[in-house]
Amino acid sequence: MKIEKIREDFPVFRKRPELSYLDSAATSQKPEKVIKAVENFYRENNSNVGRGLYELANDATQGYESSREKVAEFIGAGKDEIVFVRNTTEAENLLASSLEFEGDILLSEMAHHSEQLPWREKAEREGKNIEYIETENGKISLKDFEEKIDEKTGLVAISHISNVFGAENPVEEIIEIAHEYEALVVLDCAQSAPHMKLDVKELDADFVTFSGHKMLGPTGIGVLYGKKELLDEMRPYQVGGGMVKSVEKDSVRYEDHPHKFEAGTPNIAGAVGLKAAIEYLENIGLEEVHEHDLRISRKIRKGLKEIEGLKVLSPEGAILVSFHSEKVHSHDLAEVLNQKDVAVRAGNHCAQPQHQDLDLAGTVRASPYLYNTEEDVEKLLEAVEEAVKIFDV
Amino acid sequence: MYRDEILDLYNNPRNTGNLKHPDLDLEGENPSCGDHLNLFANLKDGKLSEIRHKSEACAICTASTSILTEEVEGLSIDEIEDLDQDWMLEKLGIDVSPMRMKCALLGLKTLKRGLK
Repeated sequence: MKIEKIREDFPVFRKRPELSYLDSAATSQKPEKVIKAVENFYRENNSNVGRGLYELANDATQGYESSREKVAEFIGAGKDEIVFVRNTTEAENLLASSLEFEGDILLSEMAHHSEQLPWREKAEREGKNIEYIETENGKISLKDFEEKIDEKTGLVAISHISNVFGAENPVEEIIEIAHEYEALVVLDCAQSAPHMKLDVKELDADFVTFSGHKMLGPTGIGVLYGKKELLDEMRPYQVGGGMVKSVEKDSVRYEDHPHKFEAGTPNIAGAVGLKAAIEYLENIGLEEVHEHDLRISRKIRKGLKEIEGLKVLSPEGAILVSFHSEKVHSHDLAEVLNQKDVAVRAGNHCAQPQHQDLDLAGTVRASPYLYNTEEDVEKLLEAVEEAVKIFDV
Repeated sequence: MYRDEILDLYNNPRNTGNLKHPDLDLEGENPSCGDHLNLFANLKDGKLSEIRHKSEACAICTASTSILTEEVEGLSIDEIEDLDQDWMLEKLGIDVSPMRMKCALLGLKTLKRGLK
């Protein structure tokens, strides 16, 4: 993997050569190929999908559906198990709205707001109980999970990789145990899909959610994978055009999945862009990407640990590094980094309850991706050192 | 952004502490970024006679709250109600990015809300 060559594929680094972008867990940068694919769709193939009978409409529909096929192949799913949504948040909301099940809900303390609030709303609406699995060394505690799951548990919603800690949770064990209790599992893969090969059949999660924009794709396109037989039983999330077989005055027949979940004109250009993003990642090889991201993260961890007064929250093997300083508020740290052209995230990363548990006002998060270099790491470390110095009065 | 005055106000905030039985006991928070402060104030003859704060917040928030407490002591409630974003930023004397605006304004907003 030649980083210099990869960087050339990303126009943002031509425009801003000084930028060390270390906020890919929030959203990734986009390669030329993805930008061109979106542009090309609007320039040459723009039409609505699934409706018109002319050639242009056929081409647009084919572009949209071939993206679905690509996503399915990418994660080892069937084509009809892939529902296009706006993002992970919408996927979680869709499930919380349309999925009916008996029993209570098990979430995690580290949960991102998007994989926690839709289920809390559902619990309130339907009178379900919620419990939270504890965090242990930056990962979901398997021991606490085993203590909390029981016959009353109907659904377990967790993330594959936490956006706060960046380490892979013990999801295989959790899924297996959850299924022994006949509980459904929703796996938020927003942070894992960009970095590692997912195989939904092997994982055996009942539902998987992720966003295109964190994996080089455009914003506004995301994916909900669901097991066929489960999607089949679910009611539509929204109703309207493009998702009905027939409508009469007193009755409606909805399309089969996945189309019954895609009411209205979808984000066609977004889907086309997501396909280009997956192809770009596959061309480089996800294993290589993962290895690179881990190497950069390790270097960041090692460097930060040598700076006095800094605490690293992310465990070994994390793809991103969250840290905090006892002296410098996370926003002040990020601001000094910004002045040195280093882009990181500061705050509580949409996981306020987890930060309350850790008694932290906020953390700084450096999240690398395939375009980050060793120089980016050096710049980050120098800037952090400087920030610590500025505030050490 | 982090001029010496700001850093000084952050490391040695002015008017800190609390007041015994204050007329106003206020709490302000920017939960998404972790700024938290308490304001205590006494009123006399329609004026703010005394004010203290306790801030657990970033440099921008702590410095601007310190400046606020220095500026508002002795002002009438009407005068404080007229203070706005531009006033606070002028007193702070630095360029504040849009994302940091709520840090800079937390103290003022908390006080104005408490006086309503």
